[in-house]
Amino acid sequence: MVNAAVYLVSRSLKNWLLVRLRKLTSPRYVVALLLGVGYLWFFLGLRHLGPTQSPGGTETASRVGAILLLLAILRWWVFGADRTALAFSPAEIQFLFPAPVTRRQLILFKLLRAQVLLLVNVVVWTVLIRRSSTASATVLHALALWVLFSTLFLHRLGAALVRSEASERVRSRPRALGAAAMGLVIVLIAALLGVQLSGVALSLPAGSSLELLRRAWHWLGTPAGHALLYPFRLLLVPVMATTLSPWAHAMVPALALLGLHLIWVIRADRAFEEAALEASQRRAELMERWRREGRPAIPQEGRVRLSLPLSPSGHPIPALVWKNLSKTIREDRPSMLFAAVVVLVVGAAIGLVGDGREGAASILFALGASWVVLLVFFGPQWIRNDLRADLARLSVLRTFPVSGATLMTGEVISSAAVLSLYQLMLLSVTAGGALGATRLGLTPGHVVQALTVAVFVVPALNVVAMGIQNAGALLFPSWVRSDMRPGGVEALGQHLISGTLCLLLLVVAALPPAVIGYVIALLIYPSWGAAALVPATLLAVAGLLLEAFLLLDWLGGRFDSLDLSELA
Amino acid sequence: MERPPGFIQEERLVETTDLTKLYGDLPAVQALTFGLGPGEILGLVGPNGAGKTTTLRCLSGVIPPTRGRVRLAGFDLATEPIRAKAQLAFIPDEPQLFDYLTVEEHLVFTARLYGASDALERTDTLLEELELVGKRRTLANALSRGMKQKLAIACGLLHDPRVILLDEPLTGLDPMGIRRMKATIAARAQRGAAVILSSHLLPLVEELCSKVLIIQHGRIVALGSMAEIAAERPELAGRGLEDLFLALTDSPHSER
Repeated sequence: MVNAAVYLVSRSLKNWLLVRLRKLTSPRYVVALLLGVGYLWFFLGLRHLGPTQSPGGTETASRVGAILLLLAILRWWVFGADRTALAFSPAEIQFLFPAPVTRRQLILFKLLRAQVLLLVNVVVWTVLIRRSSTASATVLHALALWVLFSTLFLHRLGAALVRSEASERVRSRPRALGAAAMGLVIVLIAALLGVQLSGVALSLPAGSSLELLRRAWHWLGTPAGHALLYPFRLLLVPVMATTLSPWAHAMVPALALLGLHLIWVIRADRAFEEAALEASQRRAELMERWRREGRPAIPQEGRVRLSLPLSPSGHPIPALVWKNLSKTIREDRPSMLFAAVVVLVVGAAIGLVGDGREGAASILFALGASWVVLLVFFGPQWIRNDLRADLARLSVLRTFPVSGATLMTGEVISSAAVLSLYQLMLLSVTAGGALGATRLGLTPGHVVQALTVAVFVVPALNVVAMGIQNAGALLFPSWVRSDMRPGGVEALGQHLISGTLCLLLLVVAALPPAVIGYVIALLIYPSWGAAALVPATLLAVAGLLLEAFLLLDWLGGRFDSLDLSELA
Repeated sequence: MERPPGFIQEERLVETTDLTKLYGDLPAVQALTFGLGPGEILGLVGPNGAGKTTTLRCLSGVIPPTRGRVRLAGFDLATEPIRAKAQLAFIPDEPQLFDYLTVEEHLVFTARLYGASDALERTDTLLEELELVGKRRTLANALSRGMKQKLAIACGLLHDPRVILLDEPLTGLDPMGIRRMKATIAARAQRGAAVILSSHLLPLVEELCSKVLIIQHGRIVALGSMAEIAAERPELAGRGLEDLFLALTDSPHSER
């Protein structure tokens, strides 16, 4: 089985590369490749200015890294691991599941297949956080990263398996007791952590939420805090090491942790097969019940929870937006929004305990603004209810009696609307924080003005941002994956690189309208006062919308002339 | 240009002239010229890789031809694609639906795209015709393969198209579904639609189609009614489509 798996993975990778290399016969792919290589050289070359190690920074980096890993793992357990964690392709299911291979061999195949993505990200991260200029140290660094990413991958897989088994237990009454026990353990751990944090908070004199954060930071350095982060530090210490001896010492426990994860996942093999085939089995049972009972039944996965109304007559653009919003409310998990809400609530609670309303408002302002900035950077990659989700159905879209420009406009507005909604919700929280935090010195007038400008500028900016993302999907469909994205912390490096590129393009696009708005505001402010914001904002928004119009019109033409046979 | 047999002068809902599609240097379809009038059903047959699906994809506007022209209901697909596509239904062999929309929502969405708001009045009849009545509020991803095929057909027929392109339309259907599908195709043709049906099921083609287009290596091997084709090859007179097909596509001199 291992030989067959190696053969399948290596041949698939080779053929994947060959297909994409063949695309280089097309001039636009050649230009894209050259631009991409140049960009990577510039982006990664900046890291060659010198090692990023700073005196005394290792402990801080280790602690921050451990906290980030803890948060990522909590997310997998609380919200569920990435849906791709357990996924097999239809071809793999067709060939491997009926084949005479054991469940454990299936898991080993899954691990082997993941190596391609893991190795790519090891290379990316090795360069991104380069800590040494010697070749040997770089190799050590890469090996440590491989152990880190492999352990994270296994943990994600294990979390998905345990959650899947737990949900199965909940459905099965005789097993409900086990599920309840598991839930109780989680609640107890959460309660213990809560008591510990409350103790830190309540020992503070009223005054400063910053002091509270400082104490929490120091608590993480105490034996109790250290114990909490210990498993994560085990994985990070080899990454931090720059010479052989400390690296070798640190690698022993890290490899042991990796081995434990491997044993854990392999021993969970029963749940693995069940989880992978769960959907098809459940569907078969429902179909059988339908035949037996002789009445139509809506299968579990076919049940509609939310519906948006659509009139059968009218312009096609709202219909396209309706289609994509239906996807968002029915298929996409708003885990990003949940995470934002959790961070804001926890932050506000910390601020409230440490510094009263003023502290809560300050933290809400800071966290809300940070999250908005995060969404500007990663939002266009996270929210993909547009052409990127329709790449597999391009041939259907081509039969629609609508122009390419109409279609692209509908697609782009869909994802821009969702992103704008998220950002405006967070901006409202930020504005609320700004109003409550008197130390910021912002008057209600300032806050209302800023929020009003944002209400107009943010959607227009997002249309341009999503237009750029969709342009990539449309111009290079062979190189862009559809809505299946690599997940997990280990894939963050790829997202960082592509996110930076799109952000650069967005900055270039947004600069002229921003400059025009700014100059107009400066010129008429002396006579108009605060009212100068109105024409300045409208002009900037008009500039952005003009750019979006030109971009979408051009993309529409590209869609109309796209030869789908080139995608094969 | 010498016109092939079956090329008719009356109003044509489908008209292709010198339709050619190359994949790189590989010719998939070469110089197809034919026409189809209202009420006619054309069976498009050929060996695997003959260019049937490529032909249908060119006719539906999914891929642009390398050379040649396609007119649908009088509209040039290259210069008036929106008006041409508004007259068209293309139902591929593998139904491509939106998993997150229900059966009913697919129909509303299709009606909106095709500007056929009155089409919803025909929804009940259509759902009844295709045995989808009990599935109105079921998401597409919860439908069986056959039901998905029926939904794709329902969406295609909703706006009462004048040109219907079907690629292996019976795939995944149960015997009752097959019978109903054949009746639906015949009924649409009787109401004046032009239908092109690509299939390897030669008895189906023989039963339903008024004309047959046999292609091999992207070229026309034979075009016309069974009688017209047999008239060109007297030794095949009185034989069924299967024999005609095998004789025409096996012969090294069959291409022209």
